[in-house]
Order: sequence, then structure tokens, then C-alpha cells
Amino acid sequence: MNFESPSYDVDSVFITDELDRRPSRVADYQAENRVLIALAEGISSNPETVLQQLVQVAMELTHSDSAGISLLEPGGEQDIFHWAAAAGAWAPFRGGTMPREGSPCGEVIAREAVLLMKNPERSFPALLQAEPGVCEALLAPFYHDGVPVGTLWTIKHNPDEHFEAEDARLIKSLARFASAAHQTVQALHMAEAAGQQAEVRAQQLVALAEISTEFFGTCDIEFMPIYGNAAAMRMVGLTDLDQVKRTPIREYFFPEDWAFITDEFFPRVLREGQGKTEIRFRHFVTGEPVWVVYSLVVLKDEMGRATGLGTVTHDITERKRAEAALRESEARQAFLLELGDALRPLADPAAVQSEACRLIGERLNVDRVAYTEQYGDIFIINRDWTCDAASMIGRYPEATFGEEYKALYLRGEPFVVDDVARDSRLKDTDRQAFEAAGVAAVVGVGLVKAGRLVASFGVISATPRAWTHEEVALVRETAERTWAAVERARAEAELRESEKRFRTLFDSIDEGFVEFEVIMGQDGRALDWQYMACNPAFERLSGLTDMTGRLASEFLPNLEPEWAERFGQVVTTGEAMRFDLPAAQLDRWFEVYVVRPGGEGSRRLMVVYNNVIERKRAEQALRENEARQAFLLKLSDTLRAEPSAEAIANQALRMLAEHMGLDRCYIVTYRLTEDIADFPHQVHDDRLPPIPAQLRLSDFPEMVQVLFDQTLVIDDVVTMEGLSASEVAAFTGLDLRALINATLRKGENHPLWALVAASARARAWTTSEIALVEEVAERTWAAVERARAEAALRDSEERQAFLLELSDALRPLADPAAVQGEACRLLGERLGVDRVAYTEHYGDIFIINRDWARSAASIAGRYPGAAFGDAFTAVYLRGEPFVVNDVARDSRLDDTDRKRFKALWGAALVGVGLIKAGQLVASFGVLGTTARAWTHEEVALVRETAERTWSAVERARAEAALRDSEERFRHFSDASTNVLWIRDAETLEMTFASPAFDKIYGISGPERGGDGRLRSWAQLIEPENRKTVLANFQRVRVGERVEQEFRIRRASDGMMRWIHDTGFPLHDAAGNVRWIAGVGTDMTDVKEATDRQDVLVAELQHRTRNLIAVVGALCERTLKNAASLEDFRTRFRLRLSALSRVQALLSQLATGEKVTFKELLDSELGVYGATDAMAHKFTLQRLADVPLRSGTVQTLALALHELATNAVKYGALAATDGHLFVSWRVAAPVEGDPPCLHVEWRETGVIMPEVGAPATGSGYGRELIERALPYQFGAKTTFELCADGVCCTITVPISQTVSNGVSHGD
Amino acid sequence: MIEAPLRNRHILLVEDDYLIAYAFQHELEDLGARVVGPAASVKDALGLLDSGPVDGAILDVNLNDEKVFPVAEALTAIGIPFVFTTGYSASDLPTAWRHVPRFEKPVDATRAALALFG
Repeated sequence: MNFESPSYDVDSVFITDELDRRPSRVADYQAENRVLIALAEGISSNPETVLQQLVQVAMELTHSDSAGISLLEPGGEQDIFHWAAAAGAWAPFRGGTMPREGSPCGEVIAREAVLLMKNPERSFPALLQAEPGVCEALLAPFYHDGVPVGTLWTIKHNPDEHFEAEDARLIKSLARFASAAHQTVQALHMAEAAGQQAEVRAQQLVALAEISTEFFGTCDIEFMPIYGNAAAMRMVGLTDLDQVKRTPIREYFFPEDWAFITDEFFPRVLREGQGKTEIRFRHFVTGEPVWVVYSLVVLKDEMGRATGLGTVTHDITERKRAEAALRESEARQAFLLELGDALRPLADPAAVQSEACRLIGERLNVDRVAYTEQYGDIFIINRDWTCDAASMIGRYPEATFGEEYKALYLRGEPFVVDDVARDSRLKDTDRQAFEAAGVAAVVGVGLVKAGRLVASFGVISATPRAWTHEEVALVRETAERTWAAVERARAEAELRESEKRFRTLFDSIDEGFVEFEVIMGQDGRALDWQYMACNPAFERLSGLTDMTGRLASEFLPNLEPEWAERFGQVVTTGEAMRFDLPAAQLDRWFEVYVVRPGGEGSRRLMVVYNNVIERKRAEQALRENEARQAFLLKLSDTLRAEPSAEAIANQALRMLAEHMGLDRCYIVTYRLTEDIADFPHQVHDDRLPPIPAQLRLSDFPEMVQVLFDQTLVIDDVVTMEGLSASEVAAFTGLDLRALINATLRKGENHPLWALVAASARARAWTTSEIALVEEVAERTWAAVERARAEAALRDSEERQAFLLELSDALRPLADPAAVQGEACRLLGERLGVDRVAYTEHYGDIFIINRDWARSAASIAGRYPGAAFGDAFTAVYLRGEPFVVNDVARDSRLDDTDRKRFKALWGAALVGVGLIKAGQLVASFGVLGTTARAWTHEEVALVRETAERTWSAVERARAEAALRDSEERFRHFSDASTNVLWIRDAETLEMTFASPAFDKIYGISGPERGGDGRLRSWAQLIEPENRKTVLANFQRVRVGERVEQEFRIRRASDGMMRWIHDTGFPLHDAAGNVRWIAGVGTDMTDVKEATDRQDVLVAELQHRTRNLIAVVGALCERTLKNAASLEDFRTRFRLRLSALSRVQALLSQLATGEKVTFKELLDSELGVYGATDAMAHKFTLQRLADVPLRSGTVQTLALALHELATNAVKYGALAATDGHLFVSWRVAAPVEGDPPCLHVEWRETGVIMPEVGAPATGSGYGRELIERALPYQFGAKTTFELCADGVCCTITVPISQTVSNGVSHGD
Repeated sequence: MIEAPLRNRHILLVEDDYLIAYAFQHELEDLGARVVGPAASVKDALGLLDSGPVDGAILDVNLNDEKVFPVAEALTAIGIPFVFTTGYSASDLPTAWRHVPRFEKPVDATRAALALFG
């Protein structure tokens, strides 16, 4: 073999150690076994291919890319490796060879170990010839007859993949199998070649044995081993067959078993041919026992001679270990049971600790055991156990024995030191501390609760000791249990303490506490119960003593049956119950809480008692109070429904007597000054006589004393202190033995009324009863008073109702006498009297207008005052009624009076005088034919009736007068053309307006359907006047008289009317302005007349001035053209005449009238007689009678005058054959122009002067026509001197519309 | 005879009554005035105002169917003095014209002339 070192760093190629650092997958033995079994079969069936089969498997199992087996050429130089099998990437190299020097296999054979190589080509360049290259190669030695002859290799060509430890194990196992297979195949070849069948068979067996996992072995008859298979070697730790062969069988066993093996077992096997025993092998490496079933069989040759022995040994270590563990465990359990039993009865935690220490100490045969309690940074050993060593009881700082153990404890691990002197974990100081305490070996176990170290248990040996796992476990368990026992003992101690405290409490609490055993009856009720325990409080509460052990029936023979019922119920159901029940015998009322502490079937009860009698009494009192309140409510309700004071009092007494079970109940009123007690109301037992209606107070002096300031309560008259014998007799005489006299006082010391509850027998009145009587007294009194007040109210209401009826009856009556008659009748019927009369007093004359009599004749008539005497007059004048209940007996009357009354009135009388202004004006007499006790109310009613009747009579009179007055006024106002009006001063609403109002204003007055509102009237007033008018109303309102004029627009036709109105205030009795009234006159006509007059005056003046101016102008003009003064006079006179005619025409006109053209023409022509004598001389043809504008009349008249003058003098009217033709018409106006009068003046038959001859006439007419008319009126005119006369036309504008007014023209 | 106060004065005469106007015209002319008009209507009067010189005016308040005030306004506007004549004693002259001299008919031409120019 060539061990030349490679020329470079081999260590970087051989990286086998890395396997330990690489993570590795878990071994899959099952898969491995399946493969091996398959391969084993392959050996039998097809041994030639088994190696190839194997590399294939190797490659797959190791996830390699290539695998193969390289073997040194047998029989050769042994320098060439022959690749007996190859698979994967390198499969093509199967059958190839490689020189030993260049192959890594050589290294494996040399080292006889599995090797992992990385990039082996670095050391073995020959590998470079093979592709793909090697990244990692894992190789295992291949043996033949125990000699390494080759390798099984696997290769990863991928640099990213790596072999693991598991791959190494697999390849080692496979290599061994391959070796066996190879050897077997070799042997088979050889045997076949030699024809040795037996040998072949043996070889086959060996081969099988080799791959078996069972231990196979053979030895010679001297018990020297010949063969051991791989499994055998594995089991005992031998490495190869040589070693097997060198090791005598005896060495397989522990020395203590040698005697059995050699002296007993072997001889037996030899004797019997076989034998089997369970025994331990001793592992040659570890020295550990390996439990096996060791079977030996004697092997014999054909002749039956023993040639050797064979063994199949089955490893039962695991079973044995389990059995041992079981035994151990059972022992441990037994110990722990013993421990539990020992600790359980111990009550003292310290005793528990010490017992536990002792037991474990003895059990483990140690020197000292201590239980340590940890408190913060100190620990305390309360108890320990020692075997001839010193106790360690005491307090220690935590760090006494170092800190190592504490960390372990907190991790839940035990602190195990086999030898203090040699334990590397301990510091020297710790070690010294241990040694000083005599500790050579220790097992410490910490007890960690809730993350905190609370205790520890230390088992100590004075000599080094190898603690077994079981021992440590036992210590842990013991520690755990001890802790639990200690804690239990501690809790129990606390419980005992607590119980002790409870007991103290039990004895000292205020609540009674009792425990008893119930004796149950058939019916589920407790028959009785036996007291087991009672606390002092119960004795206090119940007043019973010394009850323990005794039966309830002994103490409480009369206990209420409910107790037994409830206790029985708790026993039966087991449900706790709280209830309260009285124990009358003890005068107690207990509230109890009952529990059955035992389970089902237990009859023991625990009961907590509280005496609640006070509370119960309070509740009782409350109930009584409520009952009282209920009664009082009922009483109030009942009394409220009673109609009268009488009924109320009786009802109250009845109810109270019934409610309280009284013999007697009555109401008493006191008249102290008269020494009288009245008994107006009473109820009593039928068997008792009633109390007399009156008694003397002085018979009861003591009682009366009490009455003044308090309710008198007597439980028993006979035994009551302070009562004299006579007073006692006075009471008992009335069957009064016990009573409550509830007095109501008015003011101080004035008992007025009492309600008495009484009994004929002695009776202990309770405070509740006394209170009740007082309350009832109070309420009854109140109810009685209320009823009385209501009755009075009813009387009053009835009176009021009568008076209302009276008023209603009298109001509509207008005749004073009728009023009197009706009043008398109503009152008479109301009072049920016989006669009622209303008398009027006029000085000495009395007049009875009307009276009413039930059946007698009327006494109406005039009487002298003396007829009635004067007994009552003085009374009347004092304002008092004259009341006579019985005429016959009234001392105020003398005999004369009596006779008079008897004759006239009767036997009883109420007379009421009516005094007005100090004078007796009337009286009202009510009479009964029999004596009669007039009541206050009746008298009052007569007075009221009298008063009202008088008022009604006066009212009727006044109304009658008023009606007369109004009637007269109405006639007057109806006849007046003036408006008489009245308005309310407050609202200004019109309350009256005479009929003229409607005519003048055009709206209806308030009495004729008008609304009378100020507004309705005011809106008629012209706006410019309205404010002033209304302001003037205000002045009238405050008392002024105001005259004013204003305009209105009449509603009916819209005409403007001038009103003159005089307003004045009307005062009421108090002098306030109650109304405003007035007289209004329509003065429009007057006003218009005046206006026209003004106009006319102005016009007259104007005309006069104008006329004078015209006359002046005419004069000038005439003067200018006059030939002589005579001529002037003639002409001027004519012209003035014409002017004056025009003036006459104008002044004769009525307003609005117009002078017509015809009138004007007639006027001018008429002057010349043209109308009659000369009628044939002219023709007037008119087409319309045209009214002229006033302004045009004068000038037109003058023009016509000149024309006519000329015509008469020189023209048509002068000529024999002359004819004047005048026609006029209204010219059809040109659109937009004013209408015009068109006049044509044409003369014919006139011999005209020669042309050039001096003009005839003045020419003034012509000028007026040609110049004045156009100038003045825009007239169109022509003037021609035709051949036979003048021809003239005038077209002058006339009024477009007919004007009503007077034209103003200058 | 005194010196004619109206000599060569152009007097506008507004008077609707022909006879009065005619007479008045002669009176004024006798006083040396040169009568412009007479005019019987506002329209005519205003026309005359536009047609030639006017030194003063005599205005009848009530013309046929109208008041002369538009003429008065025109005269006021151009600063020509004027007087009113009227037939009524109690004049219905509006307040605005109360300051203007007023003559009741029959009018004395001399006094009117003095009022205008005196």
C-alpha cells in the first residue's frame, strides 16, 4: 500500500468531520430493512447482479448522482481497482479499472473508515478523466473475510448538494451488506466450482446470518467462538470476527453470572442438546448490561457427534429495562403511598416535614434529608432527618450553598451532585460550604409555585454517590408530595384556627345559633327536634338554658305548629329557608335562617335566630294604623254621602260603635254656664237603656275638669282614681264603666262638643283606639259642621232662586200695579201665607193698589194712615221688620191694634217698611190667618222681596214716564226736517237718528236698519272737512257745545250737501258725558242761493261797469258820427234802447238759461212793429232756436239793431216792395271747430242809392258786423250792398254745450 | 293839455269787447300812444307781442272765454310793464298777480298810462 502523502492539503479534500456539523435527516430503518431484505433475496435468486442492484439502491438511498463498487483485483497485484458495479452518471464506467494510487478508494481501504471527500480530483487527478466531475464523494470500506478489499462509493456531481451523517450510516451499512453479499457470491462460485454442496449451503447460511439483525454465532465444543454475525458484534460491541474469535464466550457475561453459565447452563445445553436462558451480556465497550434470551443449540455432524454450538440470541434489554422501570416505579409508588399514609394524619406542618425527611432518608439510605422553605433571600430549615449526622435546622442566607442550584430549581430541574469535590459547576466557596456541612453528594429539588421558589428538598450523602435517575425522580416526587402535605397541614391548621375563631364568634354573636337533629314524622313534618348546640346568644334570645341534648317539646310544648312544618320542609328539600314566626310562649317573634348542612337524608339543621318582636310590634302597630286609616277613610266617604248633619252624626256613631265593638257611642254638647250636657245623638246596645237627653254637668265634677284640656279616658270607672263615690255612681247608673271622651274645644277652656265611646264593662283602651275615637270625633264634627253650612247654603240658594224668579217675573211688567200684584202673589205662594199686600204711603194716606190673598177678598184701596194704628211705623222707620208671631199675644200691640189686625190681616204678620230718603214710602205685609213662628229666613225673604218689589215698581213707573217722554220726543223728531241725533260718547256710535237723517245723508239711521257706526257716517263727509268734524266731536265729548258746517256727499245720489250741525253733550246722572247729541240741518239750498246771489251781485256789478264802458264807447262813437245834437240824441237813444233791451233780456233769464237768437231778433224787430203790421215785409226762417253765448248777445244785439234801424229807415222795411229775409241755422261744424250760428240777412226790393252817392245810415251796423263780431268772437261775416238791398251773413260760434253757470263776459 | 305821457309808446291793448277796445284805443292814441292791437284773445295778443315793439300793455283780465294771464307771463318774462283792467270790483286775480296795478272799468287811459310809465 502506498501511503505517499498527496502533494497538497489533503485535509481540504477529506471533510468527513463536516458530517457531524451538517444537519442530517432522521434515519429510516424500515426503508433500509426493506431494501436489505430485497437484496438478500437477490443473493439467493440472482447473485450475479446483486452488486449492481446494491449500488443502484445506494444511489437512491443517499440521493446521489452516481454510485459504484470498486474492488481490488483479486489475485492480482492488488494495485488495480476494478469497478464491479456502477450506476447513475458514472454507470458507463462499470467494469473499468483504476490504479490504486490515483484512486481515493485506496485511502478508504488504508484508513478502514467511511470518508467524505470534496472535489477529490484535487488529490486524485485521475478522477478528472471521468465526467461529470465529482463534487462530493462518500465512500465506505468493502470487506472480504474481514479484510478491506474495495469501496462502496456514492457521488454528488451537483455542487449544491451535500451528504449527511445519515448517508454515511447508510453507506456503511450497505457496504457491510455488499461485503457479505460479495463474499457469499464468491463462496458460491468457489463451492460450485468445487462441487461442494454442503459448503455452498453453509456459505448461504452464513450469508444470511450476516445480514440478519438477530445475533447469530457459533462456537466450538470448547465454547470458543467461531463465528458471530454483524448483529452479534453490534450487540456486544465487538468490531470484527477476529475479535470475536479471540474472545471466550464466558467474557460475554458479567462475572457474577459466570458460575451459572459455565457450571449450570453450558452443561445443561450439552446434556440436553439445547438450552435457553435470560441473562445479561456485558457490552465490551460500555460495560452496560444487555439483556438477552440466550439460546444455545448443539451442532452435530452427520454422525451425530457434537461439533460445536450455535446461538441465536435475542436482545430483550428494552423489555428488561421496562420491567425494571416498572419495578422501580412500583417501588416508588409503594414508597409514595407509604409516604402519603405517613404524612396524612400529621397535622403539624413541621411534623410532616420531619416525617417526609425521615422516610426518604431511610429509603435512599442517605445521611441527611432537609426540607427547606424559601422566604425571599433567606431559607429556613424547620425539620430535617439525619442518620448520625448533625441537624441543619436553622435560618440561612440564600447564597449559603451558592447560587447554582437556584437557577436549576427555577428551571424545574433537580440539582444533582454526585461528588461535591469533583463537580465542576461548584465554585470553591460553595464546595467548602458543602464540605463544611458534611455534604459530599446531594440531590436537591426545588418547588416552584407561581414562578417563585417556595421550598426545596435536599437529600444529602456524606460520601460521594452516583444518584440514579430513579432516585432523583423519587426525591422530586417526595418533595412534591411533602410540599402538598405541608401545605395541606398548614391549611388544616389554619382551618382549625379559623374554626376556633368561628366557635368564638358562634359564642359571641348576637344572633342565636342552634344546631339540632330533627325527628321527622310520616307526614314530612318535624315531630320534634333535639338540640345539639346552642350559642349563648340563643339562650339570651329565647330565655332558655341548658338545652343541649334535650328535645324542643320539653321546653316549648305549645310552640306554634308552623315551626315544625318549616323545619320539616328544610329537612325534606335541603333548601335553605328564611322565615319569621312568632313564639308566643316565649313572647318572641323570631326571624330565622335554616340550613341543612348535611347532604341528602341528613336531618341536622342549623338555625340562626333573630328576635324581631319589636319590629313585628311596629308592623302590627303600622297595620293597626293602616286599619284605622282605612276605617277613617271609609268613615269620611260614608259621612260625605249623608245628606244632613243629623244623619252624619248618627252614621258616624253607628260606624264607630260597630268598628270598636262598643256598647254605647254618643255625642254630647256642653252648656257650661247652664250646667247642662245635651245628648243629641246616640247609639247603644239594644240591651242598654238610652242616656237621657240632658244631664247635669255637676254630677260629673271630675270628668268635667278633664274635659277642659284633654281626652278623658277611663278604663274602669270603678277602679279609677280620683272619682268620688257619687260620680262613680253617676257613671254606673248610666251603665258606663269605661269610656273615651274625645272633646272638641272652641278656644281655650271651652269644651263644646264631645264624641264618647263607652263600654258597660271595664275595658283597656289601647292608644290606637283612643286615637281613633279622637280622629272620629274630629271628622264627625267637621262633617256635621260642613253639612250645616251646606244646609244654610241651600236655604240661601233657594232664597236666591226665589228672588231670581221674582225678578224674572217682575221685569217684563210695565204696569207698577201689576208688579205689586205679581210680587204679592209669588211671595204669598212661596211662604204659604194667606195674604200679602204692598202698601204705598203718601203722608197719611195708605194706598193698596194690589194685594194677593189665598182665599179672602182683596183689600186694595185707599186708607187713612190711622186705619192701621202706628205700632209698626216706628219699627219701620228704624229699618226693622215688624214681626208678629201671634197677634193675640204680641205685647207691642194694644187691643185696638189687635182688632184692626184681626179684621184686616189675620193672626200673624211680617211687615217690612221701605224707607227712602228718611220717608216711609211703602210697606210690604205678609199675613197668616193663624199664629205662626216666622223664621229668620222667612223674614229676610219678605224684606228682600219688599225691597225688590219697590225697585220694580219704581222702575215700572220710571219706564212708563220714559215711554211717554220718548213717545213725545219721537213725534217731534219724526216731524222735524232737521236731523236729531244721539251718539254714545264712548264709542261715538249713533244710537238714535231722526228720520230726516236718512233723507239728508242717504243712509239709514240706526233705528231703520243702519249700523250707526261713526265710520259709516264719517266717510260721507268731504275729506277736507272730515278731520275738523271729528275733532269737534271730541270737543263735544268733553262737554262743549259746537256748531259747525261741513259738506257731505249724500250716499244715495252722490249729491254734495251742506250740513249745519249743532252738537252738545248729554250727561248721565253722575254728570259724565254719556252721549253726545245734535241737530243737523241740510243748508245746501240756502248755501246755493247765497252763492248765486253773490255771483249775481258780482255779475251785476261787472255788467254795470261793462255797460257803462260800452255806453261810454257808444256815446263817443255816436257823438263822433252825429250830424247834430238832435241826430246824436235820436241815434244814441235808439242805441241805448237796444242796449237796455239786451240787458232786459239778459236779466230776465233764469239761471242757466240762454238768450236765443230768435228772442234777440224778435226783440230788435219788434221795436219797429215788424212783428204785426209789417209781418208781410219779412220772412224769418229758422231752422233751430239757437241759444247764444251770453257774451255775444250784447254785441250781436247792437249789430242787429243797426241792421234793423237801417232796414226800417232805408231798406227793405222802408221800401214799398221791400222784403227782409232772415234765416239762421246752426252751421254744420267743420270737424274740430266749435258749432256756429249761421245767419243770413237779406233785403230785397230796395232801391239802392247810386254808386258814389253818400252812404245812407251811419255805417255803424256795418262796422259792428264787419269788424266788431270778427274781433270779438272770431265770427265770419259778409256785408254787401246788393242791387236791391243789403245782404249780410254772420257766422258766429255758439256754445258747444249748454252751460248751467252764468257766463262771465266782459 | 299836459305833455302826452304815452307819446310814441307802443302800448299793447288786450280787450275783447270791440266797442271798449275801439274807444280805449282812441283815448290812448289821443295821449300819443301807438296802440298795438287791440287784441281780443290771448292768441292774438301773443302774436302781436312777437310782431313788433311793445313798451307797455293794458290787459283785460277776462277775455271772451279765457284769462289773460299767459300774456301777462310773457310780458313779465321780457320785462315789459303792464296793468290789468277788469269789470269786477272784487277781483279774482290770483295771488301771483296781485302786485300788478289793476283798473276797474271804465278805465281812465291817463291813469293807466301813469301806472305804466309814471
